[in-house]
Amino acid sequence: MTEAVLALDAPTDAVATPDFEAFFREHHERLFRALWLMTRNRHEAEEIAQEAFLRIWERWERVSAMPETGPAGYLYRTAVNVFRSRLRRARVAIRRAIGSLPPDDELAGVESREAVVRALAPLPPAQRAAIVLLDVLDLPSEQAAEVLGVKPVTLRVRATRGRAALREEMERHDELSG
Amino acid sequence: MNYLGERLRHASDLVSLPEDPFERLIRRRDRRRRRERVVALAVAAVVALGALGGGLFALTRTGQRTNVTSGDGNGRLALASGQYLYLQEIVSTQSGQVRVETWWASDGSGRTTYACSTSDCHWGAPSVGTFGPGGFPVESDVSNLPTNPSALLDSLEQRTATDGASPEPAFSPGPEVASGVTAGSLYRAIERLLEYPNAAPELRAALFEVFAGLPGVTIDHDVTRDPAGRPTIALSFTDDNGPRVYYFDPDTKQVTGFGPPGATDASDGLTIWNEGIVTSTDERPTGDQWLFPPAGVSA
Repeated sequence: MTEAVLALDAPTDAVATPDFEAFFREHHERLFRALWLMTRNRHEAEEIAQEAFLRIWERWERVSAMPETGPAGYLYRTAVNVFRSRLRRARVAIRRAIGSLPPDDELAGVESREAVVRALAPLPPAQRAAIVLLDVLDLPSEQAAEVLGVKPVTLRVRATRGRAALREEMERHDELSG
Repeated sequence: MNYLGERLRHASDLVSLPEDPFERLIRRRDRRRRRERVVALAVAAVVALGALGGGLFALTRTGQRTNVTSGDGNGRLALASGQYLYLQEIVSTQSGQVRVETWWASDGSGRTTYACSTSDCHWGAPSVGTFGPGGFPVESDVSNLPTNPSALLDSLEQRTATDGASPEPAFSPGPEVASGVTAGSLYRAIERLLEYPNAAPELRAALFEVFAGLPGVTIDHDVTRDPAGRPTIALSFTDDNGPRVYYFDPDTKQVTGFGPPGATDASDGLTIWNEGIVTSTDERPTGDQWLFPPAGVSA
């Protein structure tokens, strides 16, 4: 029996521990919005956020006692792992699911107002994630690097390249729109 | 916060939040628990009755049949305690190859290796290493999914639905096969499951049966060999990502590869699998341990 099943069989019943619920309510919105920027799809962002929180909940007793980055760090790491995992499955060009997800209605609405969101589209997911972790979630580079499982220098390189590409795309958009 | 960060955060603030996310999480957790318990009970009952049998199955609700002989690999698919499912996945891309090897046992132990020669090898890499019981990193525990194709189809429909444990995006095309579930969303769910290193051989065989019976999936009788030259049953379908072909071993019904139609040995986007059952994470299959003829095997 796997760890997940053991955890699900634990007598947590249908009621969340107050700590977990408070943790959820504190972090859900921020995580969801960050994932939306990474995936550019509302449904995908919601799915990843739900899966990440469920995994945390299954291990809440252990995760809530984590001394270092705490449960929030573990949450972001888990969410990024879910994101990466979904991306890995789709890494082959013909199945690049994240890239091929049709923009949802809300994305279209936001894109029409925010050039920066449209400019995110052509960026590789790794650069997109690096920018979101550093510039939107304001994680220290060491922590963001840990979340992504890369060295801090690698993260900074990706973020630098991503920002440059973003600025270029935005300038191009500004020129086109006069 | 810098200028870009401000712009991005402002943009994300424009997106409406999901309704009742915590209540959804509770329902999701409860559904997962309930389903796993029900399935476990059902499987236990079936085993007790000795009712597990082979033979043709009929997807009675959809009225579809696979038109291929259902096989159990002559009993070779069972993964016993102490045995590991060995999978080698070889992905060809324009810039090189990715090779992932996994050994997974039903107690959640195993090992993963990763070799890559593409332009961005870190991104998307799996967690490599050797893992003790319960430690093998999996995306989802699928050990309780039924291996009876008809029951598996029911389970996949529940799992895939918008409010299911693993909902698939609603954009997927194709006719609706159940309330809120399109054939396209089932294609995607099955594709994902076939990539799980913890999807046991019997589950994989059942996934083939379900896959072959879905509306829009056709058996390409003109294709008798997979891109690696192995005997095959080729299942073709088209969804948002274009046309694709999945190749299955005719005997064990294990997936041996997938790619765009007409893919050759190293076509961009081609994935080739090798699969066997071994007794140690230090060994690769040999001889009869392979569940189908291996291709392009390297250490």
